[in-house]
Amino acid sequence: MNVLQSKVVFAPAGSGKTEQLSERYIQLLRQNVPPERILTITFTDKAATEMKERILKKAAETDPKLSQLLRDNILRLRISTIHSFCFSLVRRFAYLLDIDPNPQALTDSESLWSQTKYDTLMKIAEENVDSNEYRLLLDLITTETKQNWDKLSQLFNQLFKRRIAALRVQTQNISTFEISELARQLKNHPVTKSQIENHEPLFPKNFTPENIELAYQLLERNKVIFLTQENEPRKKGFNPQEQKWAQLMTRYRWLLLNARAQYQFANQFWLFREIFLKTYEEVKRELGQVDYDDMELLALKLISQHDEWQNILYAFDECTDHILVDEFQDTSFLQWEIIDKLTEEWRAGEGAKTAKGITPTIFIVGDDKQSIYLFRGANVEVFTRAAERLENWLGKEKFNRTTLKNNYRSLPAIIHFNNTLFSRLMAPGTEQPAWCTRYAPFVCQRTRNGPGRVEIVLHPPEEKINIPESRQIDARIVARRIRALIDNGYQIYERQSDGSENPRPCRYQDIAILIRNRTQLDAIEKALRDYSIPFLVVGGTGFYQEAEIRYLAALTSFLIDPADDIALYITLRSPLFSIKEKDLLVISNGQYPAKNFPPTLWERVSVFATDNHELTTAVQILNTALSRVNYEPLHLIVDRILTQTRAWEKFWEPQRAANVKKFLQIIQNMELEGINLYRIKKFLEDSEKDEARADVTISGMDVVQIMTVHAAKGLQFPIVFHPGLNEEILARNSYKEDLIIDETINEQGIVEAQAYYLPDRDVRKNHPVFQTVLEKQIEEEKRVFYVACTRACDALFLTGVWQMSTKTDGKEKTKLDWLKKHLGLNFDGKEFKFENANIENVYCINATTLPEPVLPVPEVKEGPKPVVKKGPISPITLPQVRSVTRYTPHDHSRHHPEAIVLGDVFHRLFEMFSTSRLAPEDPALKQEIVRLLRQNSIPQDRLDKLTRVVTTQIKRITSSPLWEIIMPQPDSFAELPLMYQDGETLWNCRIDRLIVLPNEVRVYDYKTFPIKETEIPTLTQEYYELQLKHYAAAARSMFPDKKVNVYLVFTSALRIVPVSTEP
Amino acid sequence: MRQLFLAPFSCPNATEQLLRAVLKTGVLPQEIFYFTPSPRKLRATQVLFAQIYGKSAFVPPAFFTLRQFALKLNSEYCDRCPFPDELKPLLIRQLFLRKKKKVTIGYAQVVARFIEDLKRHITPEEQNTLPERLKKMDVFIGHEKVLQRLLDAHQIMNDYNSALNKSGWIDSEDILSQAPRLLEKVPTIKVLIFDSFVAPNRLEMELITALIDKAEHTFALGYGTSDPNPGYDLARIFNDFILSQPGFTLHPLTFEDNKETVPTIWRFPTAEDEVTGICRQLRIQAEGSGLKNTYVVFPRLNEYAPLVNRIFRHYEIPFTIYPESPLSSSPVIIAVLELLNALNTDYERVSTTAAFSSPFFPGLLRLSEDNNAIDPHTGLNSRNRAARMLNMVSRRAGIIKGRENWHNIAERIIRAETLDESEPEARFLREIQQRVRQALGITEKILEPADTLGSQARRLKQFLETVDYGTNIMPDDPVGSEMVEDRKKLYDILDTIVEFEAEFGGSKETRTDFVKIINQLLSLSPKTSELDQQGVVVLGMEETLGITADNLYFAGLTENALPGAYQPDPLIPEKIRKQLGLPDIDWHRDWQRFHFHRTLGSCLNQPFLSFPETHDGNPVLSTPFLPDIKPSLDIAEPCHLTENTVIYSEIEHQLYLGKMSNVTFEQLTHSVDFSAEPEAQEIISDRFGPDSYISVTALERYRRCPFIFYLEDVLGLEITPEPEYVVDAQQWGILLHNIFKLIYSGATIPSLKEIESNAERLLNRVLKDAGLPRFWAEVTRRVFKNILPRFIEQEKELRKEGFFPSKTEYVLKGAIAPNIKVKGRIDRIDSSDTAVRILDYKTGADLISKQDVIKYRTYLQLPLYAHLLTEQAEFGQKNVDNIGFYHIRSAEINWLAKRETTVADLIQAAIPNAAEIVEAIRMGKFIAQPSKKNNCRNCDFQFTCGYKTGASEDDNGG
Ligand code: SF4
Repeated sequence: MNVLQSKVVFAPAGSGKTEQLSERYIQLLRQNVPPERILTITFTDKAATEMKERILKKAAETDPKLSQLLRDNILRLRISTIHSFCFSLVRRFAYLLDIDPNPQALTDSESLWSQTKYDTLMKIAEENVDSNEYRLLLDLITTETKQNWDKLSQLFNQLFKRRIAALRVQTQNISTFEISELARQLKNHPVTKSQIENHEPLFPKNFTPENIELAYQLLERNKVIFLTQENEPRKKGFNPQEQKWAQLMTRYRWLLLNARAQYQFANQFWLFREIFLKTYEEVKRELGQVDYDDMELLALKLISQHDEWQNILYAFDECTDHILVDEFQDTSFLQWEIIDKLTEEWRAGEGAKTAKGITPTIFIVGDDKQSIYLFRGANVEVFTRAAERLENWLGKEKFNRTTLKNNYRSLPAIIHFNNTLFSRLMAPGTEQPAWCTRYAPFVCQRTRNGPGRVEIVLHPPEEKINIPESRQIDARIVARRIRALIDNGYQIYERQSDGSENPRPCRYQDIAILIRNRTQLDAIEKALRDYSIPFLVVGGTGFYQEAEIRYLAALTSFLIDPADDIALYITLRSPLFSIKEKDLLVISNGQYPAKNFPPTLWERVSVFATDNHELTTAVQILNTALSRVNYEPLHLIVDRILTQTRAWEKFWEPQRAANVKKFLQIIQNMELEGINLYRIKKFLEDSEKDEARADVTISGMDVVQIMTVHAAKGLQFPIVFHPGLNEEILARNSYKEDLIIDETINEQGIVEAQAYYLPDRDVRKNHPVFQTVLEKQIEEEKRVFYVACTRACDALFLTGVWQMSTKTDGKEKTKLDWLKKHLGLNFDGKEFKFENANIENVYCINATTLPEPVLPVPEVKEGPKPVVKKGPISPITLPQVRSVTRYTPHDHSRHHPEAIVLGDVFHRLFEMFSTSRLAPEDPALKQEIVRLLRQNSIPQDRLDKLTRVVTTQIKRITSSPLWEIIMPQPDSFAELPLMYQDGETLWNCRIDRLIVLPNEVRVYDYKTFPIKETEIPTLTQEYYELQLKHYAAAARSMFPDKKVNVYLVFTSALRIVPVSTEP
Repeated sequence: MRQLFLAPFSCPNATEQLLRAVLKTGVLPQEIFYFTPSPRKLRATQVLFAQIYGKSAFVPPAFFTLRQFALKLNSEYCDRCPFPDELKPLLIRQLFLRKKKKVTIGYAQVVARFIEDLKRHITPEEQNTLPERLKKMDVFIGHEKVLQRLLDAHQIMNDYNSALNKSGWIDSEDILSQAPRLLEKVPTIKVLIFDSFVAPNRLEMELITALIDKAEHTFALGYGTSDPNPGYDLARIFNDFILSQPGFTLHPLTFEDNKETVPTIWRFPTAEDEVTGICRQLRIQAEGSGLKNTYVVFPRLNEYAPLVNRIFRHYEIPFTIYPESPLSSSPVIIAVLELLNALNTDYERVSTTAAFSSPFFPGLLRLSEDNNAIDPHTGLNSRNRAARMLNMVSRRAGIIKGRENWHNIAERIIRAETLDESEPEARFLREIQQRVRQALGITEKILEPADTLGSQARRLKQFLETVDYGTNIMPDDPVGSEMVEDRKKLYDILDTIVEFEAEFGGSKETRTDFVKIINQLLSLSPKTSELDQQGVVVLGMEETLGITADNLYFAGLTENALPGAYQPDPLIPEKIRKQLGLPDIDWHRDWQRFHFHRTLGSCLNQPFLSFPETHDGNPVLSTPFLPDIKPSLDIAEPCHLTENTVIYSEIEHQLYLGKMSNVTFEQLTHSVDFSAEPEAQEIISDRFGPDSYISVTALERYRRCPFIFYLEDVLGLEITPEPEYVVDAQQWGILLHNIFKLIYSGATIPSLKEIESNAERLLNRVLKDAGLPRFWAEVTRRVFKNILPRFIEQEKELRKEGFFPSKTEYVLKGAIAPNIKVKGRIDRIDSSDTAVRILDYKTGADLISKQDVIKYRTYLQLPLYAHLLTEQAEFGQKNVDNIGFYHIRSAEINWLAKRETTVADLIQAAIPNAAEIVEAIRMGKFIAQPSKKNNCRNCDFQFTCGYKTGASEDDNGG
C-alpha cells in the first residue's frame, strides 16, 4: 500500500473495508507519522471505538514498540466521529465564536425552539406595529378564512429541523416566464372566450403577487369548467380542442398555484430565517449553550471564517497531515465541506507542508450502495463528487481510485443472487443523475465450503387482505422457517480464529430478522412467541412507551406532584400496587369535606382508605415517600418503592428489568444536573420524546435477533431473514413531504440549496423537484434492500405475500415488483419461479407447501434451587479521625456569622495574651484586632465598629475575674492540641485554656456569644455537653493521676460556670 | 539527619516504617511537623501515628498539607486576607471590563488558570520577562493574534496582582509563595516529615526547601524502585528534588509482595452490571474474611457515585462514599435558581411553579391569616396544601408564562370553565390566586431586572430572608444539616459578591449574567460532607493517595476514564506549555498513570479489577494502562447474573421468583369491567340511572373511549394536560362562534343587509369582551372579514329555501327510550312554515358524515336532538327537515341527511346506539377501546390502558 498516495476506495459489503482503514493507519505510523497528525473520521461513536480497538490490537500483535507508542499517545489519537471532532474544535476555539469555552451541549433544542418561537411571535405582536415583520406576519396568518398561525408554525418547525440546509438557501427571483406566456395564449384562446365570462382579470399582464392572488381567486370559482372533481383536466363533453384547452387551463392553474405558493414562501422563509431563527440563535448564545445539531455548522464557520484556528493547529498542535474517512457514503454535504476545508490548504500543492517535505494524504473508504441515511442528510452524491474532485486536484500520480471486488463474507449462492439482482436493479443509464446507485459485481472468496442458500418464500395471493393481515402471514412464514432450520439443524460454517471454517448446526443466535421498519415488529414478535422461538429486539426504540416505564413515570410524576390525579390513578392500578378498580370507584363516590374542595384523588384516597388493607398499605408507602421528596434523591425513593412493592417480581423479564434500571438512571442523571422536579415531570409527560430501550447484552444468550436494516449496518449474520417483500417501498408519508430543500454541489464544489414549499397536493404531485425527491427515496430503498441482502453469510431468506400486481402507473411499488421485473419472478397458481434468471441454490418456495413444524413441548427445567443469602451485613466502623470543633451546629444556627467571626478573634487574642505574645494594654492591640478581622473577611465598612466592640470587651474582661484565667501563668497552655483515642475513633481536640495545678487540672472553654443568664443551664447541660465531655476525657487520659475540672467561660456575661463531666 | 525513603507502590507499610524511624530518634510527638499532599492521607496518618505511638492521649505532631500550613502562616503573620479561588474569574472578568472588553465568565476562567499556572510553575522573574520571551519565539510568526492574546492575558495578570495588593487580598499562590519568608518568624523545627509527595510545583518546592533549612532532621518518603514501570515517572520529580538538597541519604524500603499472580480483569456488559458484580463479590467476601479495610475505587467517582449509592443499598452493604456533587444539584439551591429563572423568563410556568411552591420558601404563597394548623386530612398546613396544588392549577389555567396570567390565575379558569362563583371550587381557586399575588408582590418588590452584581446579590439575599428561606429545614436530619450547609454556602457566595463589588467596583449586569455567575460560583464550590466512615469506603482514584487497603476493588477502568480526556488549553498552545515547563498532555497522562499504578499496588490482597464493555450502548475499551502490568493481560468473560445460584439481594430474589412464576407483563394489564360487580353498578347508577338526564356529549365521550369516559365522568378525575407553546387556534373559533351567536340573538331576525352592516359592531363588541391584544384583535378582524361575504351568501341560500333562524342556544331534555333520559343543547334552529332544521356551529376542520352516525356510531347529538325536538310542544307540528353542521370557517353547511338517507334513518340509527351505550355504562363496562385509533395519539394512557395501538405507521427504520 502506498501510504503517500491519496486514495478513494469503493469497498462493497463484506470486502474488508475496516481492515483497509486500520491497515492504512498502521502503515502511516510505521512511516513515523506522529499519531496526532492523523485524523480519522468514522460515522458512529461505536465505529470509532472499534477502529481504535482494531488498531491497538493489530499493533499489539505485530509490533510491541508501536503498541507502546500508541498507548503512550492514546490521548493524541484522533479517531472520532465528525461530530466529536467538531465539538472539540468548537470548544477549543470558542472564544473566536464568542461563546463560552465550556459550552453546554443543548440536547433539547426543540423545546428551546418552541419557546423562542412563541416568545418571538408574542414580541412581534406586541411591539413593532410598523415593522416589516408585524405586517408580514399579519398577512401570512390571515390570508384565509382561519387564523393560520398553526400552519405557519408548522412550516417553521419543518424549517427549523432543516435549519442547516435552510441557511444555505439562496433566495431566488420567482420566474414568471412560463406563466406569462401561457396567460397570453389562453387569453386569446377561443375556448376561453366561449367558456368563461369576464375572463380578462384571469390573465393579467404582470404577475405580481397581488395579481396572482386575484387571478387565483377567480380561477378557483371557475375551475369546475375545466377540471374534474379529482382536479384532472376535463374530458367529458369536450371536443378535442376543448380538451386541449382544459389541459392548458389545468397547467395554468398549476402555475398560478405554484407561483402563489412561492411568493408566500419567500415571505415565510424570510420571516423564519431573519427573525425567528436569528432570535433563537441569540437566545442560545445568551444561555451559553451550543446546539448539538449545529455543532458541525459552527465548526465549519470556525474553520472558514477564522484563519486563526488553522494557524494554531497548524503551527502548534495537531497539525493534520493525513485524513482517513470511513463510511464516506454517509457523509452529508456539510460534513464534506468540513473535510474539504481541512484539506484545502495542502491540496493546493503548496504551503508549508510541502515545503517541509510532508506529503499530506486523504484516504476515503465507503460503499455508495450502502448509503442509507438520506433521511438524516447523508448524501450519496457526495461520494462520487468527492472522488472526482480529488482526482482533479491531485492528479493521477498523487491519487488512486480502487474498487474492491472480493467478498469474504457470503457463500456463493448469496453472492450470485445479489450479483444477478442488483446488477439489474442498480443499473441506471449513463445519463442518469449522480445520485443513482451503480452496482459492481462481487467475486466470491468463500468457496471452500457449502454453496449456501437463498430462499424466496412467498405466500400465494389472497383475496382482499389488509396490511396487518399480510404482515401476520409473513411473520408466520418467518417463524415456521426458523423453526424448521433449528429443528433440522441447518448447517452453517463457523469461522475459527485461524481463518478456517467449521460446519455446525445453526442455533437461534445465528439468525437475524432484519426489518425495514418497526411497524412489522408486532406481528413478528407474536409469531415467534407462537412458535416458541426465543428472540430479542435489538436497539428497539420506544423506551418511554413500554408499560413498565409508563408505570414508573406515573409513580415519579405523582411523587413530584401529588395533585396529579391521573398519575396517581395509574400508579395505584399498576402492578406495583394492584389496587382493585372497585375500591377506587367507591372512593370516588365518597363525600369529601367541602372545606378542602376540590379534593385531589390523593386526598380522597388517604381519607377513605381506612378499612381497606391494600389501599392503606399503598397510602402508607406513598406517604412515607412523599415526606422524603426534596430531602432525598427521587430515584432512590422510587427505587425503594419498587422493592417494597415487590415490583421486580413483575418486572422480571430481562428487557423490562433493564428498562427499569435505565429509567432510574435517567432520573438520577437529571437530578444530578440540578433539574428541578417539576421539569423532570414535564419531561416524563412529553409523549414525543424518543429513547432507545435499555440494552440487554446478547452475548451468551441463544436468541434470534430482530433489528432494523439500519441497525444491522456493519454487522453480519450466518442466517438472515428479510420479511416484507410485498410492503410498499415508499412510506406513505413520503407523499406528504411538502418542504423540500434540495442541496447540490456545483462545479466549483460549493454546496447550493434551493427551498420549495409545496403545501398544495396538486402542485406537489406534479412538481419536478418533488418527483426527484421520490425517485431519490426509491434509490435509497434499493440500497436498504442491498444492505439487508448482503448481511447474510450462509443463508438468506426473503419472505412476503404474493400480490398479482400493485402497479398502476408502470412503476414498481414493492420489492416483489423488483423481483418480478428483474428476475422474472412469477406465480403459476401453484409454484413460484424466476423466468429470466437461473441462479444455483436460489429457491422460490410456496409457503403453503412448507410442512407445519411440530412445536417442542416446553420442558420444565429443574435447575438447582438458589441459596438465598440476602439481608443486611452488620455495620463495620473504621478507624477514623474526628475533630471536636469550636462551634456546634447550634451555634451556627443561633448566631449571626459576624458573631462567629468575633468569636474567632477573641479566641486568638486570648491565646496571644496567655502566651504573652501580646498584652491587653499594648498599643499594637488595635492593629492586631483589625488584622484579625480582615483575615476573616470583614468588610472595610464594618471594621471600625467591630474593633470598638472587641476593645471594649477586652477592657471589661481584663478587669474581671476572667483575667485570672487568661493571663499568662506557669504550667498553663493555650489552644492546646490534644489527641485521644476512643474506641475506633481518634479525637482531635483543641483546648482553649488548660491550667495544671498540683492535684488538679482545670480545663476552660471560652464562649464568646452574648447570652442570657437564663440560658446557662441549657447551654451547659445540653448544647455544649458533648464537646466538653471530649475535652475532659482527653485531659483525663493526658493527666491520669490528677482530678480534671471543666469550666465554661462566658466572656460576654463574664461568668465562669463549672460543668460536671463525670464519665 | 536527612533521609529519603523510597517505597515501591506495593509496599504496604511505607508510612509506618517512616514514622517508626522518626520515633526511634526519641523525638516527642509535639516536636514533629508532618506534611503530606492530601487531607485524606493526613487523617490516615493521624490514626496510624496514634496506633504506633500507643498512648491513649497525647499532644500530637503538627499535621499539615503545605497549603494548610501556608494559610496558617498567613493568618498568623500577614495582614492580607485570603482571596477565594472561585472569585478569581469574577475579578478577571472585571479587569477585562475595565479595559472595555467584555469576556464570558468561562474565558475569564481560562485566564485565571493561565495566571495560576504561571504563578505555580514559573519564577517571578520569568513571569515578568515572559512577554519578551514569547515575542522572541518564532513559532508565533504569522500567528500574531495568538501571541497577542497571551500578552493580553499577561497584562491582566499584572492588573490582577495589583488589584489584589491594593485592596489587601492575597491569592492562594501568593500565600504559598510568601510562606518561606514568613517561616523565619517560626521557631526551629525538630523533626520534619514529608510523606508521599509526587510532583510538587515550584511554589511547593520552595516551601519544602525552606522547611528543610529550618529543621534539625528531615525524613522524606517518595515512591520509587528499580522497576521500569512507567507509573513511577512522575514520582521521580519529588525524589530528584529531595536528593538535590544537601545531605540526604537514600533508603530503599523493602518488603515481600505475596501477590504472585497477575490479577484478572473482569469485564461487565454495563456499568450497572459492574457495580452489581462488585456488590456480589463483596457479599462473598463478607461471608469469608469480612469487609474490613476494603476500598472500592473508581478513576471517575462522579460517574459511578449514583450507581454505587443505589446498588450498594440493594445489597445492604454498609459503605461510605465521598462524592463531590456540585452545589447546584442541591434542592435548596435549585429552588433559588428556578426563582431567578422564573424572573428571567417572564414567569415561565414550570420555573415559577417550582419556585413559588418550593418547600424552602415557606414565606411565599403565605397569607397573613394563615396559621400553622395542620389539616387532618392532608397533614399539611394551608400554605403547603396550596403549594401542592399550584402545578395543576397553573396548568388548568393554561399558563405558559407571563406575570399577568399568574396574577389572574383563578380568573382564567373561572372564565374558561364558566365556573359558578359561589362554588367552593371557585373560592378555593381565588384563595390560590391571592397567594400567588402575594408571591408575585414579594418577588417584584425585591428583585430588579438589571443592576450591578452586588446589588442583585444583596437583593436576592434580602428576598431569601424575607421568605424565610430554608428556616424550616430540620438541622438534625442528616440531609437537613447538609441543606443548611448548602444554604449557608449560597449566602456566603452572595456576601462575597457584595463584598467583592465594594472592593473592586461593578457595573450594571443583566439578570442572565447574574444567574450565570451564581451558577459558575456554585459549580466551583463543591458540597463537602464530613461523614462517619463505616463499612466499605468508596473513593475516587486520586483520593486514595497514601492509603493501603486490605481489599481493593478497582473498577471503571475504561479508556474514557483512564487517562481521562485532556482538554487542551485554549490560550497557550501545547508546544509552548511544554517549553515553559507547564504541565502538558504528557504530564496529564503520567499523573493518571502514576495514580493507576499506585492504587493498584496499594492493596494487600489480589485486587478485583473491572470495566464495563459499553456505555450508553456504545462499546468502550479498557484502559491502555492495563498492559503496563503485563502485556497480554487476562480479561475475563463478561459476568452474567443469570448464572448465579446464590441470591444476595432482595431484588435478585424478587426477579428470581418472578421468573419462576413466569407471569408475563401482558397478563397483568387490566381493563375496567364491573359487569360482575353489582355493588359497583349501584354506585354508577347514582349518576347514570334511569332517573338522571345523561348528556348526549357524555355518551359520545363514552364512544370515543369508554375508559377515558370512566376516568373523567365516573371517577371524576382531572385530566389537565401541560399547556403548550402554541397560540390557541381554538380561541379564534370561540370568538367567531360568539359573533355568530350574537347575530341572531336579537328579538327579530335581521335582514341580510342588516347583518352586513351590524357585523362590524358585533365584532368590536366580542373583541372588546375578549380583551385581545391589538395584534390578535386585528387577526380576528381580518379573518372574520374574509368569512363574512361567504356567510351572507350562505344565509341567502337558506332563506331562499324558506328557512329562517328561529332559536339559538336551545336547551332540551327528554327520554329517548323507557328508562333513558338525555339532555343537550342546540346551537341554532331554523324553521320554515312546516319544517325545522337543526344546525350546529363547527369551528374545527373535521367533517362528520352520516357514516359516523350509522356505520361508525360515534356521533349522536343532532339525530338525538332531532328526535327530542319532535316531542317538544313548540315544534311538535313541524317535521325535522334536515340536520347539519355549519362550518364557520368556510361558511359552508354540511347536511347529514343526504341522498337516500333521511333524518329518520339517522334517528333510527342513533337511538339504539345511545341505548346500547347507556346499558354498557350501567353495566360498568369501561374497556379501553377507542372508536378511532387516532384518539389514542396523545392519550396519557397509551400503553397502560391495555389497548394495543401498535407502532405508528410513519416511522423510518433508522
Ligand atoms: S390509549 Fe386509546 S384506548 Fe387507551 S385509554 Fe387512551 S384513547 Fe382509550
